[in-house]
Amino acid sequence: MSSFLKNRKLHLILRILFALIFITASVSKISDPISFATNVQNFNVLPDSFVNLFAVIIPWIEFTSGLLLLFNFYVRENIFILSGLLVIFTLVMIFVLINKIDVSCGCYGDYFIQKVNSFKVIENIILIILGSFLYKYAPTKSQPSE
Amino acid sequence: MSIKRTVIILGTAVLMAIVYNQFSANGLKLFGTATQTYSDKLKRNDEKSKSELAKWSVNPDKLAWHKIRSDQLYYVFEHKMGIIIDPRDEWDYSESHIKGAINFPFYKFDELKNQIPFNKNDLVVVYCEDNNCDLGKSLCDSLVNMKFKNIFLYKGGIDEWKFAQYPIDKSKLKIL
Repeated sequence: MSSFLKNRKLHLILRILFALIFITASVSKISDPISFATNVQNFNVLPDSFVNLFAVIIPWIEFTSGLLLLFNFYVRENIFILSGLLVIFTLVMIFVLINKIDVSCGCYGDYFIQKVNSFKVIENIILIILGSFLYKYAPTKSQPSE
Repeated sequence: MSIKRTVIILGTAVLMAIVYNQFSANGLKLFGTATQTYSDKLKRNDEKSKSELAKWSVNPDKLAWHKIRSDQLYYVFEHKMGIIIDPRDEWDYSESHIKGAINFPFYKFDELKNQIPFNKNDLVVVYCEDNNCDLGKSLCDSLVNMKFKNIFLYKGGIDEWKFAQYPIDKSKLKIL
């Protein structure tokens, strides 16, 4: 099992998949920041003054880390950043669900509108597990290919 | 994992975000909300908007609301000439509304009237469900009574807008 998880090809495929998810999610938010800011505002978790700042910065963190991860630069650092974002998003979604706020998650901007629901939380948890796996089994340069 | 590299990546991303936001046509005011940004972005003094209004034979000095057709509303929508207001309740609004419209439930008018996020000279279009819905007319009357000048009523409402296949949305843009 351990050798299967350490398989470089598997790691490569999952890393590209992980990176593409964030790049796709960020592009729509960067191109339409008002829609994303609206979603953030509706979550009611941030003070009004910080809504736009959050909506401007977060998609660029997703984009930069996603791109670096795609091209195999600083793999662990970027997985750590993206997984950290996932943890924050998941906690916000749980807060929204507990408070029964009916809002779009804004995960992929306005191109693919999804409501916040328990499936979204599960989807995020799966991505966090994937991130942890990628972090733990990130191949080092000296590791032989399998 | 290097903390230093992580900080450098985050710093680079933040820097790129701020620079891009500064030069992007869709850039946001960094400290504020989406609603405030939308209100700030209105082309209040745009010559094109003024000439378009002149074509609609609107006398801006007359305190009365005017009717607007769907093609005119689409012009307003496309050119960000004004604020589009949906006076229905939150539930109807979240079912579907004109993209970018702000929910201003008429039943909360007394509560919200002191926090209206537009100026008395801004172009404001109010719509409701369809021809038979009076909420739009009631809100127009109330806004005119408060001395708002460029108030328009889109009588066809969300039904006509949808029929014309213009953009709708389901997410919620709060008034405040």
